[in-house]
Amino acid sequence: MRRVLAALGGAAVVLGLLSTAGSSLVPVAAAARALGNDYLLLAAIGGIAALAAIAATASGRAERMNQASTPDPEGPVTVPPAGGTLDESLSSWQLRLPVLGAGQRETVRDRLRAAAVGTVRRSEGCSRTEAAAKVADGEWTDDDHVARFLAEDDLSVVATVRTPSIARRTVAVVESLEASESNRGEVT
Amino acid sequence: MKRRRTNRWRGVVGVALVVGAVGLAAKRPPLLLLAGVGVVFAAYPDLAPRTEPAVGLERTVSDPNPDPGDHVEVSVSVTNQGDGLLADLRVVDGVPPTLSVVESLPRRGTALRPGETDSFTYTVRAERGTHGFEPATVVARDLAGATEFETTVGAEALTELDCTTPLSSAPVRPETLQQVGRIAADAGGIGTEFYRTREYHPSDSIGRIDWNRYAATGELTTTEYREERATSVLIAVDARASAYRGPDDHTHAVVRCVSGARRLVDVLSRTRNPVGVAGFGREYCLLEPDTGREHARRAHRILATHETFDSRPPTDPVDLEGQARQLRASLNERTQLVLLSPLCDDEIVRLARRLQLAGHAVTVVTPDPTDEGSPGRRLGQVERRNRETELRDAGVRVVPWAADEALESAFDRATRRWHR
Repeated sequence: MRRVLAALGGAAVVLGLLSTAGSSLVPVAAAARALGNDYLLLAAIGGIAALAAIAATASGRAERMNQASTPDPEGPVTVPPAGGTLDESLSSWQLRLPVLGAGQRETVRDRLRAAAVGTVRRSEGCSRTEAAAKVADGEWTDDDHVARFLAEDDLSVVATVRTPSIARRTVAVVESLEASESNRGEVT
Repeated sequence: MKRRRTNRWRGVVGVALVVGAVGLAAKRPPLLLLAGVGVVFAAYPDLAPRTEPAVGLERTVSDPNPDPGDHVEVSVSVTNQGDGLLADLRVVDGVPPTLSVVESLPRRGTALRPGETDSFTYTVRAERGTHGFEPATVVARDLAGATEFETTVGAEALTELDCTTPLSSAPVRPETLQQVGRIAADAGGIGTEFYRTREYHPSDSIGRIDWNRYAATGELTTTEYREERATSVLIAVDARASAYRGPDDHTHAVVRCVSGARRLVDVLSRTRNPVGVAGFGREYCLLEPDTGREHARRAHRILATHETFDSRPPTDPVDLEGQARQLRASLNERTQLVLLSPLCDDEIVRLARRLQLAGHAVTVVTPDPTDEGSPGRRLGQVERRNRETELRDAGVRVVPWAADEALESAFDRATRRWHR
């Protein structure tokens, strides 16, 4: 395509040069007579140029620039912190909504429940089933809000709205349970 | 090498045509002349020579084995190895993705005549782990900037910053005696190391009778030596998206797992035990256990360059179950598995437990990716310790590896605990 355009451009230049040299090969005078006067001939050529300009300008807009974007290696690759997804959930406004946030709330509760079961198991040296039963019965902590938060199937409206704060409290309770376990020392 | 037209001069054609049209309509010859200038600009990129660049790159580091936190100067030399002028050459060095540039810039814009060389230096801060440089990105444009070539150079030269300390032993199972030269089974038999003496049996070889004891006591006893069995060790790295976690201002867990795997390859390949490498992540990667220096070099190469072990997290989820099936197919009953994982999810714990219960001796080396601070981060710590306990309960040996700790010291601590 570019070669065709280049050939056409070259031919136009040659014709232009020939016409200025007064050659009879280019019927400039006949074309001017046909149009009425020479200005209209120039205007017609200018019109063709203007049309071509519209196409060329449209295709040459800045967003059509096609240049390589070099990488930015100055800073290290960043990764999320372990446990970071819980922080994202706790800062989400949807978590407090009764119906819309139900799925997200259950995910948070499941995760906290699993952590509580694992930690009860460690701290009390019991089986997973026993630990799960303690958490399900709310017997694993003296904190009623936290115990009910993990034990109840359906949260009350108040607990639903307060989910982020109770979840944070649950983490603290699980941590304190773990601290008592670590005081007993590692087993393996 | 990618070649592309930048379209930088496309607008000039439009401007030239508009100016020409106005010049004709207004009968202004100077405008026509100006349009001619525009045409020259538009035509020049097609007339200018386009030289495909041939660029050589050499990279040196001031200290290939720095300590964590050290500043390391990186010098990069770029040479025009082609025949044409490189009028606009831009080079961006492939800094290891886990390191920070702390001084100067790892990039250079220059023009090079044939055979000419230009250099630049920058400084990175070393972090714990083994950090491989990536190929440098090179963009060369012609004089008009209308055509550009984009390529990478320096892929063949594996430059690394190794910010780890060599290991003197590996946490392989001691049914076994830790010793450079072999993994010895805890069974008496024919070997070189004394194991025990027992009552003589007529079928015993005469060469194994303890004649000293016979001279002293008059009793015939047979000496048994520790039987040497080659035990293959498969070192597996968890490089799934969930493993790309790390505390602030520290190398993330996958980089530490990969560098730990490389140190394990070093120490185990000095024995006669076959060592292999596997990885879970973008795709399942396996180098079957084998011995020899060439095999160890291949293991290093895979850990340094295979896309599964890339230091940038993958975006697609991983079918761990499918990859685990492939892993199990490559294990025999004598293969020990050393799994390096930050234990950031339950799936990897289930896999390690299953393998242990299937009779493979599994040891999990687990770099700590957790951090103090928010409730989520603190919960991450609790969850991880719960997972360690679950593994221990299944008989898996666990080597917790703190963020600012050398692997050797983590092994020492774990070994002391095992022998308590």
